[in-house]
Amino acid sequence: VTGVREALIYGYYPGCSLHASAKEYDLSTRALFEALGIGLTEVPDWICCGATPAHTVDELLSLSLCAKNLAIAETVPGDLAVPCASCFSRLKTAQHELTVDLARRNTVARVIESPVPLAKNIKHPLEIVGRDWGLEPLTAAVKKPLAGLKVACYYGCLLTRPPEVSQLDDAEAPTIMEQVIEAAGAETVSWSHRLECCGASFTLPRPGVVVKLTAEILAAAKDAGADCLTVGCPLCQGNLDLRQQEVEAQSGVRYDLPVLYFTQLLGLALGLAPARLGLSGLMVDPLPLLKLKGLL
Amino acid sequence: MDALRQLWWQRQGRSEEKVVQLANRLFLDNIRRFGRQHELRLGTLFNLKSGQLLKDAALAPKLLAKGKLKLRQAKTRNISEVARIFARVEQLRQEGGSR
Repeated sequence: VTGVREALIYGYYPGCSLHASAKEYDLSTRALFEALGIGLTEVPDWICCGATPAHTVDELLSLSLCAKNLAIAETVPGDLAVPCASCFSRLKTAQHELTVDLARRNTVARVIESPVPLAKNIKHPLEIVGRDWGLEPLTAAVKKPLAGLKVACYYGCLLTRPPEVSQLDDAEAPTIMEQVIEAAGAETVSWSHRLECCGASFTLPRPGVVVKLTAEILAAAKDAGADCLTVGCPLCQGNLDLRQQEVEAQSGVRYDLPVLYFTQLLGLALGLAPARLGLSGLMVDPLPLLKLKGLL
Repeated sequence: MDALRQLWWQRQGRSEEKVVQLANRLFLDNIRRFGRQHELRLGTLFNLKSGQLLKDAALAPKLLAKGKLKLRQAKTRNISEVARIFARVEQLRQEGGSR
Protein backbone atom coordinates (compact mmCIF):
# COMPACT_ATOMS: atom_id res chain seq x y z
CA VAL A 1 0.00 0.00 0.00
CA THR A 2 2.80 2.40 0.90
CA GLY A 3 4.75 4.21 -1.75
CA VAL A 4 1.77 4.84 -4.02
CA ARG A 5 0.77 8.12 -2.48
CA GLU A 6 2.03 10.97 -0.36
CA ALA A 7 2.78 9.87 3.19
CA LEU A 8 0.17 10.72 5.80
CA ILE A 9 1.37 11.43 9.32
CA TYR A 10 -0.61 12.25 12.43
CA GLY A 11 -0.14 12.93 16.09
CA TYR A 12 -2.01 10.42 18.23
CA TYR A 13 -4.01 11.10 21.38
CA PRO A 14 -5.28 7.68 22.52
CA GLY A 15 -6.95 8.79 25.75
CA CYS A 16 -7.22 6.77 28.95
CA SER A 17 -9.60 4.02 27.77
CA LEU A 18 -7.37 2.97 24.90
CA HIS A 19 -4.57 2.27 27.36
CA ALA A 20 -6.78 -0.02 29.44
CA SER A 21 -10.37 -1.21 28.93
CA ALA A 22 -10.31 -0.45 25.20
CA LYS A 23 -6.78 -1.56 24.45
CA GLU A 24 -7.99 -3.52 21.41
CA TYR A 25 -9.13 -0.22 19.86
CA ASP A 26 -5.61 1.13 20.33
CA LEU A 27 -4.09 -2.08 18.99
CA SER A 28 -6.32 -2.22 15.92
CA THR A 29 -5.96 1.49 15.13
CA ARG A 30 -2.17 1.22 15.20
CA ALA A 31 -2.23 -1.99 13.13
CA LEU A 32 -4.64 -0.55 10.56
CA PHE A 33 -2.69 2.68 10.17
CA GLU A 34 0.57 0.78 9.85
CA ALA A 35 -0.96 -1.43 7.16
CA LEU A 36 -2.12 1.65 5.27
CA GLY A 37 1.25 3.33 5.67
CA ILE A 38 -0.18 6.10 7.84
CA GLY A 39 2.26 7.40 10.44
CA LEU A 40 1.18 7.85 14.07
CA THR A 41 3.21 9.56 16.77
CA GLU A 42 1.71 9.37 20.25
CA VAL A 43 1.57 12.72 22.01
CA PRO A 44 4.15 12.45 24.80
CA ASP A 45 2.86 12.71 28.36
CA TRP A 46 -0.70 13.48 27.34
CA ILE A 47 -3.13 13.81 30.22
CA CYS A 48 -6.79 12.87 30.65
CA CYS A 49 -9.17 15.19 28.78
CA GLY A 50 -11.49 15.25 31.80
CA ALA A 51 -14.26 13.54 29.84
CA THR A 52 -17.85 13.95 31.03
CA PRO A 53 -17.14 14.39 34.76
CA ALA A 54 -15.00 17.48 34.21
CA HIS A 55 -17.30 19.36 31.87
CA THR A 56 -20.41 18.61 33.88
CA VAL A 57 -19.02 20.05 37.10
CA ASP A 58 -16.23 22.47 36.20
CA GLU A 59 -16.03 24.03 32.77
CA LEU A 60 -12.75 25.84 33.38
CA LEU A 61 -11.08 22.62 34.51
CA SER A 62 -12.42 20.80 31.45
CA LEU A 63 -11.20 23.49 29.06
CA SER A 64 -7.83 23.70 30.81
CA LEU A 65 -7.14 19.96 30.71
CA CYS A 66 -7.96 19.93 26.99
CA ALA A 67 -5.94 23.08 26.32
CA LYS A 68 -2.94 21.52 28.05
CA ASN A 69 -3.23 18.54 25.72
CA LEU A 70 -3.49 20.81 22.70
CA ALA A 71 -0.31 22.56 23.84
CA ILE A 72 1.55 19.26 24.26
CA ALA A 73 0.23 18.05 20.89
CA GLU A 74 2.09 20.89 19.20
CA THR A 75 5.27 18.88 19.78
CA VAL A 76 4.24 16.16 17.32
CA PRO A 77 3.83 16.62 13.56
CA GLY A 78 0.60 16.42 11.59
CA ASP A 79 -3.07 16.66 12.43
CA LEU A 80 -4.18 15.01 15.67
CA ALA A 81 -5.86 11.60 15.46
CA VAL A 82 -8.28 10.99 18.36
CA PRO A 83 -10.08 7.61 18.28
CA CYS A 84 -12.15 8.00 21.46
CA ALA A 85 -15.41 9.81 20.69
CA SER A 86 -15.47 11.40 24.13
CA CYS A 87 -11.88 12.70 23.92
CA PHE A 88 -12.56 13.78 20.33
CA SER A 89 -15.62 15.71 21.46
CA ARG A 90 -13.94 17.30 24.49
CA LEU A 91 -10.81 18.39 22.62
CA LYS A 92 -12.83 19.79 19.73
CA THR A 93 -15.25 21.52 22.11
CA ALA A 94 -12.36 23.21 23.92
CA GLN A 95 -10.82 24.24 20.62
CA HIS A 96 -14.15 25.65 19.44
CA GLU A 97 -15.02 27.50 22.65
CA LEU A 98 -11.57 28.96 23.13
CA THR A 99 -11.54 30.14 19.53
CA VAL A 100 -14.77 32.11 19.86
CA ASP A 101 -14.26 33.36 23.45
CA LEU A 102 -11.07 35.38 23.81
CA ALA A 103 -11.61 36.21 27.48
CA ARG A 104 -12.01 32.53 28.26
CA ARG A 105 -8.91 31.71 26.26
CA ASN A 106 -6.88 34.22 28.30
CA THR A 107 -8.12 32.69 31.56
CA VAL A 108 -7.22 29.19 30.36
CA ALA A 109 -3.78 30.43 29.26
CA ARG A 110 -3.23 31.64 32.83
CA VAL A 111 -4.24 28.24 34.17
CA ILE A 112 -1.97 26.22 31.90
CA GLU A 113 0.80 28.86 32.00
CA SER A 114 1.18 28.97 28.23
CA PRO A 115 -0.62 30.26 25.17
CA VAL A 116 -3.40 27.99 23.93
CA PRO A 117 -2.61 26.70 20.43
CA LEU A 118 -5.82 26.27 18.46
CA ALA A 119 -4.72 25.63 14.89
CA LYS A 120 -4.19 21.87 14.88
CA ASN A 121 -6.83 19.84 13.07
CA ILE A 122 -8.39 17.23 15.35
CA LYS A 123 -9.64 14.20 13.45
CA HIS A 124 -11.38 10.95 14.25
CA PRO A 125 -9.79 7.93 12.52
CA LEU A 126 -13.05 7.50 10.56
CA GLU A 127 -12.35 10.71 8.66
CA ILE A 128 -8.65 9.95 8.34
CA VAL A 129 -9.35 6.60 6.69
CA GLY A 130 -12.50 7.62 4.83
CA ARG A 131 -11.39 11.04 3.59
CA ASP A 132 -7.67 11.69 4.01
CA TRP A 133 -6.74 8.18 2.90
CA GLY A 134 -9.83 7.89 0.75
CA LEU A 135 -12.46 5.31 -0.04
CA GLU A 136 -11.17 4.28 -3.45
CA PRO A 137 -7.63 3.56 -2.23
CA LEU A 138 -9.15 1.78 0.76
CA THR A 139 -11.22 -0.45 -1.52
CA ALA A 140 -8.12 -1.14 -3.56
CA ALA A 141 -6.17 -2.10 -0.44
CA VAL A 142 -8.74 -4.68 0.67
CA LYS A 143 -7.38 -8.22 0.46
CA LYS A 144 -10.19 -10.15 2.16
CA PRO A 145 -13.53 -8.44 1.49
CA LEU A 146 -16.02 -8.82 4.33
CA ALA A 147 -18.54 -10.30 1.93
CA GLY A 148 -21.77 -11.55 3.48
CA LEU A 149 -21.29 -9.75 6.78
CA LYS A 150 -24.23 -7.53 7.75
CA VAL A 151 -23.03 -4.69 9.94
CA ALA A 152 -25.00 -2.17 12.01
CA CYS A 153 -22.92 1.03 12.17
CA TYR A 154 -23.42 2.72 15.52
CA TYR A 155 -22.34 6.35 15.94
CA GLY A 156 -23.71 7.14 19.39
CA CYS A 157 -23.98 10.74 20.55
CA LEU A 158 -20.61 12.37 20.33
CA LEU A 159 -19.10 11.55 16.96
CA THR A 160 -21.38 13.90 15.07
CA ARG A 161 -22.82 16.21 17.71
CA PRO A 162 -22.90 19.09 18.25
CA PRO A 163 -22.37 19.58 14.52
CA GLU A 164 -20.64 22.97 14.74
CA VAL A 165 -18.02 21.32 16.96
CA SER A 166 -17.69 17.83 15.54
CA GLN A 167 -17.80 18.63 11.82
CA LEU A 168 -17.33 14.92 11.17
CA ASP A 169 -20.44 14.41 9.08
CA ASP A 170 -24.13 15.29 8.91
CA ALA A 171 -25.23 15.28 12.54
CA GLU A 172 -28.54 13.51 11.98
CA ALA A 173 -27.82 11.43 8.89
CA PRO A 174 -24.13 10.57 8.85
CA THR A 175 -22.82 8.06 6.33
CA ILE A 176 -19.05 8.04 6.80
CA MET A 177 -18.98 4.84 8.87
CA GLU A 178 -21.22 3.02 6.39
CA GLN A 179 -19.03 4.19 3.51
CA VAL A 180 -15.86 2.94 5.18
CA ILE A 181 -17.39 -0.41 6.14
CA GLU A 182 -18.86 -0.90 2.68
CA ALA A 183 -15.45 -0.11 1.16
CA ALA A 184 -14.24 -3.14 3.12
CA GLY A 185 -16.81 -5.29 1.34
CA ALA A 186 -19.38 -5.65 4.10
CA GLU A 187 -23.08 -4.88 3.87
CA THR A 188 -24.45 -2.22 6.21
CA VAL A 189 -28.01 -2.41 7.50
CA SER A 190 -30.49 0.43 7.68
CA TRP A 191 -31.65 0.76 11.26
CA SER A 192 -33.22 3.10 13.78
CA HIS A 193 -30.74 3.50 16.63
CA ARG A 194 -27.51 4.61 14.96
CA LEU A 195 -27.44 7.90 16.88
CA GLU A 196 -29.15 6.98 20.13
CA CYS A 197 -27.32 7.25 23.45
CA CYS A 198 -25.91 4.10 25.07
CA GLY A 199 -25.73 5.69 28.54
CA ALA A 200 -22.01 6.36 28.23
CA SER A 201 -20.34 7.19 31.56
CA PHE A 202 -23.48 6.28 33.51
CA THR A 203 -22.07 2.76 33.35
CA LEU A 204 -20.39 3.45 36.70
CA PRO A 205 -23.02 5.26 38.80
CA ARG A 206 -26.22 4.19 37.04
CA PRO A 207 -25.68 0.90 35.19
CA GLY A 208 -29.44 0.31 35.10
CA VAL A 209 -29.77 3.26 32.70
CA VAL A 210 -27.08 1.76 30.47
CA VAL A 211 -28.71 -1.67 30.47
CA LYS A 212 -32.06 -0.17 29.44
CA LEU A 213 -30.59 1.95 26.64
CA THR A 214 -28.26 -0.72 25.28
CA ALA A 215 -31.12 -3.24 25.30
CA GLU A 216 -33.02 -0.96 22.91
CA ILE A 217 -29.98 -0.52 20.67
CA LEU A 218 -29.20 -4.24 20.54
CA ALA A 219 -32.84 -5.08 19.82
CA ALA A 220 -32.97 -2.55 16.98
CA ALA A 221 -29.78 -3.90 15.43
CA LYS A 222 -31.03 -7.46 15.66
CA ASP A 223 -34.40 -6.50 14.17
CA ALA A 224 -32.58 -4.91 11.24
CA GLY A 225 -30.87 -8.21 10.52
CA ALA A 226 -27.38 -7.25 11.62
CA ASP A 227 -24.78 -9.93 12.33
CA CYS A 228 -22.73 -7.53 14.41
CA LEU A 229 -22.32 -3.89 15.38
CA THR A 230 -19.39 -1.65 14.68
CA VAL A 231 -18.43 1.45 16.65
CA GLY A 232 -15.83 4.22 16.88
CA CYS A 233 -16.06 4.89 20.60
CA PRO A 234 -14.68 2.91 23.56
CA LEU A 235 -17.55 3.88 25.86
CA CYS A 236 -20.18 2.74 23.36
CA GLN A 237 -18.26 -0.46 22.71
CA GLY A 238 -17.91 -1.18 26.42
CA ASN A 239 -21.56 -0.63 27.15
CA LEU A 240 -22.87 -2.65 24.21
CA ASP A 241 -20.36 -5.49 24.59
CA LEU A 242 -19.64 -5.70 28.30
CA ARG A 243 -23.25 -5.25 29.38
CA GLN A 244 -24.75 -7.49 26.68
CA GLN A 245 -24.88 -10.58 28.88
CA GLU A 246 -26.65 -8.54 31.57
CA VAL A 247 -29.13 -7.24 29.00
CA GLU A 248 -29.80 -10.79 27.83
CA ALA A 249 -30.31 -12.02 31.39
CA GLN A 250 -32.81 -9.26 32.15
CA SER A 251 -34.71 -9.38 28.86
CA GLY A 252 -34.61 -13.11 28.27
CA VAL A 253 -33.58 -12.39 24.69
CA ARG A 254 -30.37 -13.81 23.25
CA TYR A 255 -28.71 -11.21 21.03
CA ASP A 256 -25.23 -12.67 20.54
CA LEU A 257 -24.13 -9.58 18.64
CA PRO A 258 -20.38 -9.01 18.56
CA VAL A 259 -19.46 -5.33 18.86
CA LEU A 260 -16.31 -4.62 16.90
CA TYR A 261 -14.38 -1.41 16.46
CA PHE A 262 -14.47 -0.30 12.84
CA THR A 263 -10.68 -0.47 12.89
CA GLN A 264 -10.92 -4.19 13.66
CA LEU A 265 -13.24 -4.83 10.71
CA LEU A 266 -11.05 -2.82 8.36
CA GLY A 267 -7.98 -4.61 9.64
CA LEU A 268 -9.59 -7.97 8.89
CA ALA A 269 -10.41 -6.77 5.38
CA LEU A 270 -6.78 -5.78 4.89
CA GLY A 271 -5.77 -9.31 5.83
CA LEU A 272 -4.38 -8.58 9.28
CA ALA A 273 -4.32 -11.45 11.79
CA PRO A 274 -6.99 -11.40 14.55
CA ALA A 275 -4.28 -11.26 17.22
CA ARG A 276 -2.98 -7.97 15.80
CA LEU A 277 -6.48 -6.53 16.04
CA GLY A 278 -7.23 -7.59 19.60
CA LEU A 279 -10.30 -9.62 18.68
CA SER A 280 -9.83 -11.84 21.73
CA GLY A 281 -10.34 -8.78 23.93
CA LEU A 282 -14.02 -8.53 23.05
CA MET A 283 -16.55 -9.96 25.48
CA VAL A 284 -18.96 -11.27 22.85
CA ASP A 285 -16.63 -13.49 20.87
CA PRO A 286 -16.70 -12.49 17.17
CA LEU A 287 -14.70 -15.51 15.97
CA PRO A 288 -17.65 -17.93 15.53
CA LEU A 289 -19.47 -15.35 13.38
CA LEU A 290 -16.38 -14.56 11.33
CA LYS A 291 -15.71 -18.27 10.76
CA LEU A 292 -19.35 -18.88 9.84
CA LYS A 293 -19.08 -16.14 7.21
CA GLY A 294 -15.84 -17.59 5.91
CA LEU A 295 -13.86 -14.50 6.90
CA LEU A 296 -11.26 -16.33 9.00
CA MET B 1 -27.78 21.89 32.02
CA ASP B 2 -24.04 21.86 32.65
CA ALA B 3 -24.26 25.40 34.08
CA LEU B 4 -26.76 24.26 36.72
CA ARG B 5 -24.66 21.21 37.57
CA GLN B 6 -21.57 23.39 37.90
CA LEU B 7 -23.26 25.89 40.22
CA TRP B 8 -24.49 23.09 42.43
CA TRP B 9 -21.10 21.39 42.40
CA GLN B 10 -19.34 24.58 43.48
CA ARG B 11 -21.75 25.01 46.37
CA GLN B 12 -21.27 21.33 47.27
CA GLY B 13 -25.02 21.12 47.60
CA ARG B 14 -26.89 17.99 48.57
CA SER B 15 -27.86 16.08 45.47
CA GLU B 16 -30.51 13.48 44.82
CA GLU B 17 -27.92 11.99 42.47
CA LYS B 18 -25.30 11.30 45.12
CA VAL B 19 -23.82 8.38 43.26
CA VAL B 20 -23.30 10.47 40.12
CA GLN B 21 -21.60 13.18 42.16
CA LEU B 22 -19.45 10.53 43.83
CA ALA B 23 -18.43 9.09 40.46
CA ASN B 24 -17.54 12.56 39.20
CA ARG B 25 -15.49 13.34 42.30
CA LEU B 26 -13.54 10.06 42.15
CA PHE B 27 -12.94 10.46 38.42
CA LEU B 28 -11.46 13.93 38.86
CA ASP B 29 -9.43 12.82 41.88
CA ASN B 30 -7.81 10.14 39.74
CA ILE B 31 -6.79 12.75 37.17
CA ARG B 32 -5.35 14.92 39.93
CA ARG B 33 -3.36 11.98 41.34
CA PHE B 34 -2.18 10.26 38.18
CA GLY B 35 -2.79 12.63 35.27
CA ARG B 36 -4.83 9.88 33.67
CA GLN B 37 -7.76 7.69 34.55
CA HIS B 38 -7.22 4.58 36.67
CA GLU B 39 -10.30 2.49 35.93
CA LEU B 40 -9.72 -0.23 38.53
CA ARG B 41 -9.20 2.31 41.30
CA LEU B 42 -12.22 4.28 40.12
CA GLY B 43 -14.52 1.26 40.19
CA THR B 44 -13.17 -0.11 43.48
CA LEU B 45 -13.43 3.19 45.35
CA PHE B 46 -16.87 3.84 43.90
CA ASN B 47 -18.14 0.52 45.23
CA LEU B 48 -16.59 1.09 48.65
CA LYS B 49 -17.80 4.67 49.06
CA SER B 50 -21.25 4.10 47.60
CA GLY B 51 -21.82 1.04 49.76
CA GLN B 52 -22.53 -1.12 46.71
CA LEU B 53 -19.74 -3.54 47.45
CA LEU B 54 -20.82 -6.20 44.97
CA LYS B 55 -21.76 -3.88 42.12
CA ASP B 56 -20.42 -5.36 38.86
CA ALA B 57 -18.53 -7.97 40.89
CA ALA B 58 -19.17 -10.53 38.17
CA LEU B 59 -17.60 -8.29 35.53
CA ALA B 60 -14.31 -7.62 37.29
CA PRO B 61 -12.79 -11.11 36.82
CA LYS B 62 -13.71 -11.07 33.11
CA LEU B 63 -12.14 -7.65 32.65
CA LEU B 64 -9.01 -8.71 34.50
CA ALA B 65 -8.77 -11.95 32.52
CA LYS B 66 -8.86 -10.01 29.27
CA GLY B 67 -6.28 -7.54 30.52
CA LYS B 68 -8.76 -4.69 30.38
CA LEU B 69 -8.05 -3.42 33.87
CA LYS B 70 -4.64 -2.15 34.81
CA LEU B 71 -3.68 -3.09 38.33
CA ARG B 72 -1.39 -0.10 38.53
CA GLN B 73 -1.56 3.31 36.88
CA ALA B 74 1.75 5.10 36.61
CA LYS B 75 1.68 8.86 37.05
CA THR B 76 2.34 10.92 33.95
CA ARG B 77 5.71 12.62 33.95
CA ASN B 78 4.07 16.03 34.00
CA ILE B 79 1.95 15.28 37.06
CA SER B 80 3.19 18.45 38.77
CA GLU B 81 1.74 20.52 35.92
CA VAL B 82 -1.57 18.69 36.30
CA ALA B 83 -1.57 19.49 40.00
CA ARG B 84 -0.94 23.17 39.21
CA ILE B 85 -3.87 23.20 36.78
CA PHE B 86 -6.20 21.89 39.49
CA ALA B 87 -4.79 24.35 42.03
CA ARG B 88 -5.14 27.38 39.78
CA VAL B 89 -8.67 26.47 38.74
CA GLU B 90 -9.59 26.20 42.41
CA GLN B 91 -7.84 29.48 43.19
CA LEU B 92 -9.66 31.28 40.39
CA ARG B 93 -12.96 29.89 41.55
CA GLN B 94 -12.37 31.17 45.07
CA GLU B 95 -11.44 34.56 43.66
CA GLY B 96 -14.60 34.53 41.56
CA GLY B 97 -12.62 34.68 38.32
CA SER B 98 -13.23 31.21 36.94
CA ARG B 99 -15.71 32.51 34.38
